[in-house]
Amino acid sequence: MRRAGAAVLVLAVGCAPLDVERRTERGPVLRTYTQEKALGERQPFADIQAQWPELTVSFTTADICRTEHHEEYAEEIISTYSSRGAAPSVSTGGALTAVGGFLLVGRTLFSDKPRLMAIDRTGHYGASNRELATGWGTALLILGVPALVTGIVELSRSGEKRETRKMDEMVALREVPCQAQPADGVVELAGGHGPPPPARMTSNAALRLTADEVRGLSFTGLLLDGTPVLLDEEDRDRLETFRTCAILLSAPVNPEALAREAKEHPERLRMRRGLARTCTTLPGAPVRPLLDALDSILANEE
Amino acid sequence: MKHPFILWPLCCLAACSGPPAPDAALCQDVVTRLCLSSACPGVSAQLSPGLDCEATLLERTGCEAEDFAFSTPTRERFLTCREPLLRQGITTQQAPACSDTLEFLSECQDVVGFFRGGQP
Repeated sequence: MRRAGAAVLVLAVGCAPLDVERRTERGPVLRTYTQEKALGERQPFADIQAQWPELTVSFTTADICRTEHHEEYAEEIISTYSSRGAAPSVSTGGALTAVGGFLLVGRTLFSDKPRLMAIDRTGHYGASNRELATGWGTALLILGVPALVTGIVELSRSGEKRETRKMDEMVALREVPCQAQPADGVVELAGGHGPPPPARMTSNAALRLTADEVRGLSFTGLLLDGTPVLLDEEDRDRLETFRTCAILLSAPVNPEALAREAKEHPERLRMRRGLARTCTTLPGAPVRPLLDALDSILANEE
Repeated sequence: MKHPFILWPLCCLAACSGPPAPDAALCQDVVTRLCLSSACPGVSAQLSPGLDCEATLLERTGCEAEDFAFSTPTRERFLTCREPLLRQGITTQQAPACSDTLEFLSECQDVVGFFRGGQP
């Protein structure tokens, strides 16, 4: 019976609220690993090679492979439980319980004779000192014990609790074409001025354009079977250089005309020399006569 | 009234009292109180306590006998009429106020008759 009472008391005060403060700390890295997977979205790609006077655009379709770099690390969750009322509760409850217990235990020390000097409104004598001690002792215990138990429970529940869990974080992501295969189809040259050039069929997964054709075509992008073709920066530069050189090298070298232009517009000639120099990056491009003439004329001018 | 639960032990304490006082003790208590206020106007005229107030009233009523018991007026009626005499305290160390004694005399003619030695 006494144990049941104690259990009920503990349960009743066990729900006393505690202040909880949680913080998270990142622990050491446990391992790193790489995860690769194909996205299953095939895209057309093109590779551009120049061999003057021909530009070869080779088409492939490739999947996008995603490479993820992961870090697995330990994370610690620290919960700090505290109660500002625990200590006052223990001290107040302890004092009340001590006084109440003393009165109740030592009640036989008090006289059990009623107070004959006083008769109350109902016709009863005043309570004896023993009855008063019992009443006060019981009341103080009723107030003190729950406060004491509450305080002790709160103090015992106060403290720090640490939980460690494993966390995973992606620290780097890279997507590159993979599983490339040659692709044939209808190529559209898109994005230029005026009406688009007629579509062309690839042959052996490649489209070959001569310098004369490139000079007459206006386009900035390619479509393979209606899907935009991805070109990297280097291939774009190569296409643009080929187009520029196709225009620059189309006219025959005329030293007299160049000399006249050097006198009238020397800046324009210097710019043309800069462009001609970039044409040297195209294998087989007949840029040497033009470059020699420009160098000679500009050397005389300077 | 944030914590009403702490008040009920005090209520228990307030209700704490000893055994019922015998009728004789209750009667003697009222005699003492009336004699303490015998100097109040109207008291002597109505109760005629004589020179020894307490002895006279005890003899008239028979309260001094240990086996005294109320019949008419009843104990309950006696307690009701006694209430004004308790306003200065439940001990007999302090005399009732004259106004309270006069209230007793005017409101409880049956009990006054009992103290005169006759039936109301």
